[in-house]
Amino acid sequence: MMLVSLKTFRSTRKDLINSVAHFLLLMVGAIWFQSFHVKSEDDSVNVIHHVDAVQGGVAKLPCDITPAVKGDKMHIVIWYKEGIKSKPVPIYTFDSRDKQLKQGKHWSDEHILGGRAYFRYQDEPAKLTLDSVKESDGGIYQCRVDFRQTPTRNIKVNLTVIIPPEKLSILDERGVHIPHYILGPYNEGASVNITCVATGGRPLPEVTWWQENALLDESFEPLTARRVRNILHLEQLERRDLHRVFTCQATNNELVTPISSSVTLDMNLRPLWVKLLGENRPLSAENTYELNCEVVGSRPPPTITWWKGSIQMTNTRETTSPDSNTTTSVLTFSPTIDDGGKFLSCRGQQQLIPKSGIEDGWKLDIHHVPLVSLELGSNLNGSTIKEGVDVYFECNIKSNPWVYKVSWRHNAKVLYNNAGVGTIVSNQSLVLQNVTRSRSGLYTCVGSNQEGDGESNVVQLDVKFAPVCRPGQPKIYGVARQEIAEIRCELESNPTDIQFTWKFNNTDNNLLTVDLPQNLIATDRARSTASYQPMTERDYGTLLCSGSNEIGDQREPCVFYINPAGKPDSLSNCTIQNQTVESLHVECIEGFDGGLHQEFIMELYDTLTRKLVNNVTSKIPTFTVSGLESGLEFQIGLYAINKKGKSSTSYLQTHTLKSAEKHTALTPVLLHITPILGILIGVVSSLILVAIIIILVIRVRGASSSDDYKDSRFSCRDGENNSKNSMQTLSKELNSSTDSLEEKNPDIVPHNSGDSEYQEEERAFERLNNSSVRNYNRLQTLEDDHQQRVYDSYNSNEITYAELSLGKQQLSPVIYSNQQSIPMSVIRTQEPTLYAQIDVSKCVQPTYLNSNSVSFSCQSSAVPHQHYSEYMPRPNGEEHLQDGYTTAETPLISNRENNVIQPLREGSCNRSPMSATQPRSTTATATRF
Amino acid sequence: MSLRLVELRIPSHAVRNQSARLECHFDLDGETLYSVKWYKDGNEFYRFVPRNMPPVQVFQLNGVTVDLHNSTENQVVLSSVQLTTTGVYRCEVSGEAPSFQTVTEHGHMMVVALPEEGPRITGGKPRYQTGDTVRVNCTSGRSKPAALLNWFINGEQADPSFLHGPETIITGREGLETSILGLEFVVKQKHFRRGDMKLKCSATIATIYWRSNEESVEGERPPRASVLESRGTVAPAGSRADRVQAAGSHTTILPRVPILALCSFVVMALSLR
Repeated sequence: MMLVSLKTFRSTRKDLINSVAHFLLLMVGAIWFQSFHVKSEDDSVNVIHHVDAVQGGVAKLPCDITPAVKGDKMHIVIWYKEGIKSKPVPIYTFDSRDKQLKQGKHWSDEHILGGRAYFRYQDEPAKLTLDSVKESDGGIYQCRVDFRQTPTRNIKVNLTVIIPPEKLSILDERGVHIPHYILGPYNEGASVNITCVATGGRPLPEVTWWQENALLDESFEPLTARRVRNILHLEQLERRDLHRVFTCQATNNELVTPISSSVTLDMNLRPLWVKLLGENRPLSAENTYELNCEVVGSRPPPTITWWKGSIQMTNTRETTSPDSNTTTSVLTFSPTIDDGGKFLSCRGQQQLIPKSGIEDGWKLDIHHVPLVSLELGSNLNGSTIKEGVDVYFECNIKSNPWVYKVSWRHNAKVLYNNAGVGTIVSNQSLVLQNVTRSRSGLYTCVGSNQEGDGESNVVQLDVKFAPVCRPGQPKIYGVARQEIAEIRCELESNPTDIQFTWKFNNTDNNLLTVDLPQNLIATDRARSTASYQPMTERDYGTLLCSGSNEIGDQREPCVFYINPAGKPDSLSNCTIQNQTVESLHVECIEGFDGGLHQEFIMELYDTLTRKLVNNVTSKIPTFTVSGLESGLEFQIGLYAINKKGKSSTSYLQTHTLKSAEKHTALTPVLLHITPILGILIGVVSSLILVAIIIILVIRVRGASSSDDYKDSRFSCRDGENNSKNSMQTLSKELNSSTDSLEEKNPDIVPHNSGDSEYQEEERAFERLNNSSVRNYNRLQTLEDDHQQRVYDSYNSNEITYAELSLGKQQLSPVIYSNQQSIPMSVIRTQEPTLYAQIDVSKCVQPTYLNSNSVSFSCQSSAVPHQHYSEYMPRPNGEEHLQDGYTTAETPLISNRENNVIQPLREGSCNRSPMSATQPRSTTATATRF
Repeated sequence: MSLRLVELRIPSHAVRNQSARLECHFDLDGETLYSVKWYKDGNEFYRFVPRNMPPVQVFQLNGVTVDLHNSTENQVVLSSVQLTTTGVYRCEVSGEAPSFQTVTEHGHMMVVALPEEGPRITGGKPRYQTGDTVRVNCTSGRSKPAALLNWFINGEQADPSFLHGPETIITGREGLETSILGLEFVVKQKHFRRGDMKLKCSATIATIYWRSNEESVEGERPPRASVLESRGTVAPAGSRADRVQAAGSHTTILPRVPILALCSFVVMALSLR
């Protein structure tokens, strides 16, 4: 017996390389056989082989033709096939008797094999190959090998034809085919049954489920003769199962690659987390914010909703990351104050999975500008507040963060705590003690926090008060006899329903007071006008106007002085404002108009010819004259005029500029002088230094004894008449003649502020340093040369001496040119002539004309007030009638100061009209700077 | 045209050391004969190929000795068959190329080793009375296969319930077998015929061997002296399997012989089919 061992083509299903080889084997020919050493029923064969072949493939039926004995030779191979009849039928023969193998003759039964067979004697072992295996090829084959010398060999081969499974179907739970190889989607946590059904194949295939290389399920079961099923059960799907690939495989042989079908698991995933991005910071009300909410891990993309409390928010937009894993929703949100404390949340939900929502949120902290409301104290009635009452306000604040400051405003001006005036600002309330009518107005409170200032509503405080005289009204009326004067009396009052009363008080008889008849009085609310016509001298005096309203009567009446009309006062403070080659511009300050309408007149005289050159009339004390000849000297006369006559004339000395001279003559002179200049400057400087020391000494000594002279020191002689009738010059001047402290202290450089004073001193110093000795010398001569004016009360030790000398210097041509030549800074030092201009107010009008002509016009604008005391009662502050008023009402500090000053003043230049009954012809006049 | 195997004659049994003839008759029906091959148990031992010179080729096979002088394309004679000659014999006749039409048939032949002695009866008593229990054994001679034993009482087959065994004992180098069959029964009046009761044991091997031994037992009543008479019956081994040679005896069993012969014939016919 021969045991023929054959190599078997065994492969591992999982070996991919072999799978490819399998496929090739399928094409070229795939056989698989097992050998059994058997005794058949009739002892006819030695060996039986089992061979498998796949339908359509190639079957290889082995038959060993190798002789058992060396030297023997195979003669004939006969292949039989056992048909249905038991008798074997030869189907293929190979006859190599008397010839070599390769010349052997092949024969096959065409009817059965159809040319598909060939005996490969050269193979080891030799094989009968059968192409395109048909199902009917299965069965038992017998190979008989005849040798020349050794016994015949008989081999049986059992060929099994395998029919692979035809197809696979994958079904879901409902038995529906899974389309596109996508399984699902299933929700997370779901359980799934996937059915795989194999159709066809013989023998019936094994149907198995795989996940990659892992066998999941091999529990297949036949359904019918042609169908085998395997149900894969997946429990509790998890997130990581997404996109898992499950492969169903069916095979009934190891020759060819199993058929398989894969499905990919698709899942619906719940969100992993929801996060409001950023920090929960306070938000400012009414600002617009974009809040981002990120939802991660949901599949398909989640539904994101925003909620404020239980209210859903709109105005959102969404973006999804490229991998679809993250969806971001942006909420555009403008918080309101009311949103504070509310819970703002973002909710991400997978709609396909119930209860999959997750949310994240913030408790809103809304910052806002303080909301402030103001109200009057609860027990106060805003319409019945009188002066003297205590008033308080309450400021109600809603604020986040809390206010760091509460401030109060009255008519938009900030109020501060000031117990002295009765203003008490506490945290959220304002107390006004003992209110006066000045407290009336609009009040607000302002709360401030980091978000800004919140101002409250406006509460109007309306303080009721009895009428008082409105300050600033004309008090003095100059009225001619039989002239009708409209005396206007205006009151301040709240309410303004006023009952007016007019009285006349004759100065002759203080006790006699007469009510004016109503037909002379026209009243309009807080204003009343009396048409008053003095007929005789006795009709001059004071008119008293007073009113009363529901709060009370006016305590102090308004007083109007009815004075007889007279000539106007002269002009004062006239200065040349602009001076050109052919024009001049002069400005003055007007004086009292004498109670009548006044006009102003400027007369221009040629100094040399003394002829009138020009004449200007103006309604205001400002004059411009042009078309003048250049380089001429002029004398200017200035005065006011009304129906009663003209005032005294003020004079100025001036000239028009020379047109050509000033540009041409400069340079040569400069060159000529230069060598001498150094020496001169040195000498002059030292002299000036000495002069200054002397002056300083004089001043120091003079200061100690100056008080006695103050009345006269600054008073000037009136150039025309200082003894005029007082009726002509009303005492308007008094307004400016008193009340300044400087007047009482001669040491104080008058009028200008400390700054200018300093500047002037500095200039003087500079000038002393720079100017020549001649200045000083000239000082003496100038004084002698003083043309027209004489100082009324000139004192040799007056400081004004030096000042005046500077001002009125008539510089020599040398100096003149010298000054022209020095640089600008030096020229400026020349300007101290302005200093000289600080003249004695109206008396002395030093006119500074380009540093070479200074004229002093000392006009007595100070008018003697003979009748002053008669017609103008002067309680304390002359021109400050309103002060007088206020004093009557409430003694203010400033008033008190005035009172303190009063005696000094009375003892000085001006006596109080009340006390000084006798007329003073030499009343000191405006010495105020 | 179709090659046809007409008759295959293979004796079912052959006696050891004798020769056996295997015949294979075929009808070529116009086909050229390529070969006649004989296989024993699938192994070729004789080949007749007319094209070859000499046409006959014999291959060594254990237990097979071909008598070349008497063997032709239609028969093979095996000389002095041995127990190992037993087997399946197959004749295969093939026509010539290209299709090598082939017909084949096979049959089984068993080689028998006959016993050298007949069956022996042991354990009998000379006299039995009614009610006595008879206990006897029959032992065959050594043979292969073992002989089939049978008991007869007064020439009639013993009731199977009286039998014990058979028991087969294998002995010797060749593995020859001995059978023992016990007979046990209670004597009854009916067993005596004319005062005698005859107990016979037969041994048979297929159709080629038959021998018996009989003992006669006296009843109690007749006073005459008991005679235990034993007679063996021997069937001489036939040279042919298809002939059953029943060994006759002078006893009354004789009528059975034709039946046995008939049976043998039937068996032979079946085997020849």
